[in-house]
Amino acid sequence: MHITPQEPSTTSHRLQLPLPHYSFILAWAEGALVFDKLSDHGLNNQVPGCGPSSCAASSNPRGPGRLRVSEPRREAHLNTLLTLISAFSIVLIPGIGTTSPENWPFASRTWLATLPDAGDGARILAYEYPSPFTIHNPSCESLLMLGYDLLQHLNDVRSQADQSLASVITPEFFLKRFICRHTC
Amino acid sequence: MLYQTTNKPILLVCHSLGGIIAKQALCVANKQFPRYGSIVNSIAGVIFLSTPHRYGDKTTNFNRFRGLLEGTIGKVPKIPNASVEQDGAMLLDLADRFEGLSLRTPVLSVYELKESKTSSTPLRLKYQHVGSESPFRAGN
Repeated sequence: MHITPQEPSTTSHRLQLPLPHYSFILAWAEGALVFDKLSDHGLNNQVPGCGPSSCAASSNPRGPGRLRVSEPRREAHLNTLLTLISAFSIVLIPGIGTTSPENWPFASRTWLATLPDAGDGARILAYEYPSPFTIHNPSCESLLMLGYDLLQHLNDVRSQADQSLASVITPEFFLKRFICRHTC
Repeated sequence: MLYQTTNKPILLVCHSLGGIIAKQALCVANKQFPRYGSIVNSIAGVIFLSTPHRYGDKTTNFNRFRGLLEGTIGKVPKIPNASVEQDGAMLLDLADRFEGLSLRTPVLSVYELKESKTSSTPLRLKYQHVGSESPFRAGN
């Protein structure tokens, strides 16, 4: 399990660790708006930046779609981590040929900040999938198969997040948190 | 574990035919509860935006589906006539299965009343409601 940053292309600050969250935590610290892909077992070998209509189904042993994690610019590493662990998830599932989830207001931190209970702390996941109606024998069945795919990716992302957090939340983490509270 | 993500709530926001995918995912998750129970229990709400739900018969279900697809991608790929009945039955079955879930979480379904332009074939309306007459039961 690993993660391949989609953008920006500079990866010198990223660690090749089996901890997907490290990647975008560091990306946050860089102050970049990053859409990182949480996936499993080489799913991230797809063409970077491929959209809903262009993701290659054959290169993905898990399924044709994928879940991308949209995370915002953050000021500090620890704030980011604290936000991560307190977040709930909003999963955006677009239609076929419709507006990309990246442009939905639900993915906007400004909009999310207007929600009660710290809505801006939500983790935004966008499901991307190739249109099932571009293949030779289109049917609703191929659309329904994406339901399995979405479910599996959702399950994977949550499992991976738990594994990451189990590693991230160490005594060192609490020490950093303590220091941050008293110095930041 | 205190911070377990598997216990974090999930809000599904689905647009258009994405709602079909979400409904199928929820039905599968519910059917395979031992495996996906944590996901089912974490669903805090589902929002459908212009998602087709259930219509009277197979053909109507499929035509609504096709109309929605036509409204979003402009031109619907050629679908064999033999598939219309089969696909309509699938959509109807999905609608029934989803309604049978009896989700305990809020479900909101929103659709436009404004007509959307579709392809202007002589035998088809130039404008139509792609999501009108949604029989989805609010507050399900």
